[in-house]
Amino acid sequence: MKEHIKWLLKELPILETRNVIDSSSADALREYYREKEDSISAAKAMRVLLRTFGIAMFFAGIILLLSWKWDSFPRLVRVGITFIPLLAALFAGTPLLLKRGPSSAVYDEGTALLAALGVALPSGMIARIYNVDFSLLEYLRLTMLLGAPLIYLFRSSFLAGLYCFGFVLMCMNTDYHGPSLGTDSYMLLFYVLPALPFLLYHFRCHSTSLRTIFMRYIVFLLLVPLMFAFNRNSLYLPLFAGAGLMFVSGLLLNIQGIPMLRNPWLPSGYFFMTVLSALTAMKNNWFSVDFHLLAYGGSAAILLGLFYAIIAYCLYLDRKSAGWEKYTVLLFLCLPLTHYTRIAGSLFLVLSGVVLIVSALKRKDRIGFNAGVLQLLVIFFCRLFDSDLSLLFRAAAFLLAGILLIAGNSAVSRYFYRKALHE
Amino acid sequence: MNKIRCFIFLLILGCSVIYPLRKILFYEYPAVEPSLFLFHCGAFDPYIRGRYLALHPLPDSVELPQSENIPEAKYAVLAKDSEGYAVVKDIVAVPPSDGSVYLRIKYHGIYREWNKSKKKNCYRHHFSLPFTRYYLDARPSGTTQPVLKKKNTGCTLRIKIYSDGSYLADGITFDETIPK
Repeated sequence: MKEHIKWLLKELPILETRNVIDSSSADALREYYREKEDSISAAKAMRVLLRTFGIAMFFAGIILLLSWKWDSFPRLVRVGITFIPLLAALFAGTPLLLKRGPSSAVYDEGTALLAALGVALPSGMIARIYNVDFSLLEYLRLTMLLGAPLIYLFRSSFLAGLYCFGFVLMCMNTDYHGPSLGTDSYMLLFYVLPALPFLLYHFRCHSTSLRTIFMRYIVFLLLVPLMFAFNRNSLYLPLFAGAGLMFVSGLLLNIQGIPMLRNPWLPSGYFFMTVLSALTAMKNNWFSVDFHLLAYGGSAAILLGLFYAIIAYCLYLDRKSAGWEKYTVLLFLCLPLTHYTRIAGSLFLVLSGVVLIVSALKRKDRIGFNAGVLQLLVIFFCRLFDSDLSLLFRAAAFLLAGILLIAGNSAVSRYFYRKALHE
Repeated sequence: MNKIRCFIFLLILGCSVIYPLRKILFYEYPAVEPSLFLFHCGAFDPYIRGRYLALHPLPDSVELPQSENIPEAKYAVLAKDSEGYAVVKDIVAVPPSDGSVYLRIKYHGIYREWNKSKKKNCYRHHFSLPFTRYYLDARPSGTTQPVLKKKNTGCTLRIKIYSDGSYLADGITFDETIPK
C-alpha cells in the first residue's frame, strides 16, 4: 500500500505538467495521500513495537527457565550456556551477510541484536559466574568497541540506539579529577566516533521512514551527555555549542518541510538556547569561560572544534534559505566569551526574539511568531521581576504586559487565520 | 563485498570469544597460585539487588606517616594477620615490584585523627576496596536466606588475589555481628 502511495506521489507532478489533472486536484490528492501515508507509518510502528515486546517476553521466559535450574548446573555448563547466543548469531548472521539482494529490515535488526547479545553476554557472565574484577566501564568499553561494527554490517538502527544508551552509561560512570579533563574524557570522544557517521547519515536523510525519525531522536543520546560531561571546571562552551548545534540542525530540517514531531531538534535547540541565555542574563560572569582551563582541557577543545565544524557546515547548507534566525546562533556562541553576561544575554534574547518575530511574519508562521514573543517575555520577566525599580512600577508593568500579551495573541491569531482563509 | 562483510562479522565474533576464554583460562589454570585472603565486611545491603549483595569490605582506611593527600594512590599493598585476615601495609601509585600482594583501590582522601594512646595527631588515609558486590546463587539456600534478611550482620569474604592484582571472590560466610 505504502509503495503505491509513494508511486502516486511521484507521478503527480508529471500528471500535472501534462495537464491530465489540474493543480488544485493534484494538491488535494497530495494532501490526502500524505495523511494516509502517515497513518500507515503509525500503524506499522505499533505493529513493530508489539512484535518486539512479544519477542522480548519470549526471551525473558527462556531466561527465567534457565534461572530455575541455574544453581544445579556445573560451572562449565553455565559457561557453555553463555556462548549459546554467540553460536546462534553465527548461524543466523553468516547466511544473511552472504545473501545477495535486499533482506527484511526486521530480520536485519533481529540478527544484529542477537549478534550484539552474543558479543556482550559471555564477558559479562564470566565476571558474574567467577565473581571477578570487571567494572561496568571496562565492560562497556569492550562490548561497545566490538559492537560498533555490527551497526554497519547489519545497518541496524536499534543497535545504534543501544550504542548511544551505552554511551550515556559510560558518561555517567566516567570520573573527572582535577582541573584538566583526563584520559577518560578523550576515551569518551573516541567512543562517539564509531557510531557518528551512521547516525548523521540517517539524521540528514530526507526519507520519512521510522528509522530516520528514530535516528533524529536517538542522536540526542549522544549529544546531550557530551554537552554536560564536558561542561565541568568552567568549560561551559560545549553546553552552548551543543544547544546551537541542535537549533541549527533543527532549522535545516525545518526548511525541508519536516514537521515538528519528526524534527525534535528545533524545539529542543530553541529551548536550550532560551534557557541558557536567560540564565546568563541573570548575573554577570555566569557561564563565562575560563580560558586558562580551556587550554588545560584538550579533549573539551577537540569536542568544541567538532561542534563548531558541524555548525559551520549546517550554516553553509542553509545559506540559500531566507531568514536571519540561523545567524543568531553565532551571537549565542559568543555569550560565554564575555564577562558582562547580564547585558550580553539580555541583548541576545531581545535580538533573537525580534528576528524570530520578523521572519515569522514574513513566512506567516504562527509557531515562529510565538517563539519570538516568548523570548522577549523571558527577558522582560528576568530583568524586571526582581529589579531595583519600585514595586508599584513593576506591578503596573507586569499587569500591562499580561493584558497586552493576551489581547495581542488573540489579535495575531485572528490575523494569521484571516490570511490563511484569504489564501 | 558480501564475503568481506561476512569475514568482518566472523572476526568480531572471534574477538568476542577471546576475552572470556582468556579470563577462564587465567582463573582456572593460573601461572602463579593466587594468595587467599579473608576480608571482614561491614553491614551488607540485606535486600538482594538482582541477586547480589552490596558489600562494604574492610579495611577502608590505613594509618600512614604521610600527612598529605596521595591522589595518585591506586594500589593497596596487603599482608595477612595471624588469622589470615587482610591488613593494608601501604598505599602506592605503582604496583610493588618486590612480589608483595596488591589490589587496585579507589583513594578518597586523608583525615586527621587524635590518637589517644600516642597522644598525637595521626593521619588516616581512606579508600575503598574493589569488591563491593557478591553474586549469590539464584536461590539462596535455606540456611543463608534468614541471615540475608537480618540487619546488623557482617560477613567475611574469601578472596583469591592473583599476581597481577586481579581477584576472584571465592566465597562468603555470614557473621553474627558487624566487625568494628
